[in-house]
Amino acid sequence: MDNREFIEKARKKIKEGLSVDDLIRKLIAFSDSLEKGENTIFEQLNDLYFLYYPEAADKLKERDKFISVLRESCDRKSTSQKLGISLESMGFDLDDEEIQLLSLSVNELSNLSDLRKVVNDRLNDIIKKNYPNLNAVLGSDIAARIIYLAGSSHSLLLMPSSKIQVLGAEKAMFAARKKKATPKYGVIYNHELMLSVPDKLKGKMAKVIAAYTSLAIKTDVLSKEDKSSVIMEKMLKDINKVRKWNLKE
Amino acid sequence: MELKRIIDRVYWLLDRRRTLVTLSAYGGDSVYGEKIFNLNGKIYREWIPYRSKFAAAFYKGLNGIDIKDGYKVLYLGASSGTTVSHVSDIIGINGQVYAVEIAEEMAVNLILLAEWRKNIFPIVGDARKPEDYSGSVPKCDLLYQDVAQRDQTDIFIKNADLFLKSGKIGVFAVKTRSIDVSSDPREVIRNEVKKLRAKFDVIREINLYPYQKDHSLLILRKK
Repeated sequence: MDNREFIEKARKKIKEGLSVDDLIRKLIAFSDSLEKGENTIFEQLNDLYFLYYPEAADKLKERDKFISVLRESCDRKSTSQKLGISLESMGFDLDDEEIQLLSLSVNELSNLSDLRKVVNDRLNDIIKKNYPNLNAVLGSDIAARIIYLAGSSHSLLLMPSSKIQVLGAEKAMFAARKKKATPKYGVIYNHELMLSVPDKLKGKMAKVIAAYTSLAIKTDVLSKEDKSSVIMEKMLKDINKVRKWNLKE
Repeated sequence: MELKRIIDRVYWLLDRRRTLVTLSAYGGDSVYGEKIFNLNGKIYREWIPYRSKFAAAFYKGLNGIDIKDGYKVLYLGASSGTTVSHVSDIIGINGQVYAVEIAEEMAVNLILLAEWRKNIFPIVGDARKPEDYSGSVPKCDLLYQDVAQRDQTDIFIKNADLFLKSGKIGVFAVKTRSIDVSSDPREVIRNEVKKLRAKFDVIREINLYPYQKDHSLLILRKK
């Protein structure tokens, strides 16, 4: 007996089982690793630069600033001009070769940073195209991440909104089994609307956002129509209710 | 180096330390990075106990089991095919191993393995629903299950009812932590064995520590 038939069937099933969600999951994982790598490399480079020019390294503790100042040239002269600090340094004098090495590394770091931007842009496009309603409710960053956390759009669709509300807060959720209070929000906390309400209303706000997330993903997957304007209109009404709650107190 | 037979096609390779090996049925290619030994013109593949629960059982004292050339095996929870490749060695080119796996990414490796190991029959499906593949899988001589799910005992019984010939062996890897995290592992095993007693004789129970954590292997014979 030949196993060819089984192989063909299994191949077909796998091909059918793959969807855009798998792409989203992989791209998010890739983007996360890139960011992790960037941070590690940045820390090391900043440390190395500290040896050479501590006065400047002290002012360049942010990654983006570090890259933009040092991208063209790493030597003390140009850096001191850009930052407007004294050329006099208590650091160790590096040879030209080592300064060259530093420049090369900063350039690589800058490339990594650009690559991550490209990945994220692509991710945003995919979300906008495939999940227009979810994109309207959450914004593309959180929308992608919430699909990643749920595993797939289908499993997100099946979740109650109370679970969507705490996606990304699994650690706190498990702690709550012992004694602590349950968490109020997971990745939804990063939503821009959450910034607009005081702390004590954030739980209520998360509840509203989660409810509309649930509605939006159902619309996206089941009816495949862009009804984002209707959904957003309803959502803003509910959000205003939450805001009024604040005035009452 | 000398070989000591355990069952057909499975040997201890005795050197300074003993190494479990299977006689390769499909040439000298390594499947998952295991060592290949070439002795007297025959090719043997190392069977690593940290990677395979079945291998760990041999290291923990299993010295005989009813599996041989030409057998049909149903393997649930095939994953990427690590253990499956050794089962495929044991049953030889005349045997058939039906390997069921639900996770697509794992199944891809399994399919690629089946392309050159012609006695592996990959099935992408859910072991909870044996009806889905009952049309294409015949009655088998051995049922091996390693699925690490809460309802793994029910899955085992369901599949054994449908596919295992009576009087034949079922090998059942119990992961106690998937069934119940909080209870005592021995208690969990006892409960599972109680469920199995109605339809199986329990021949052996092997705790796989230290090769596999929280795992036991049950060797059962269908009544």
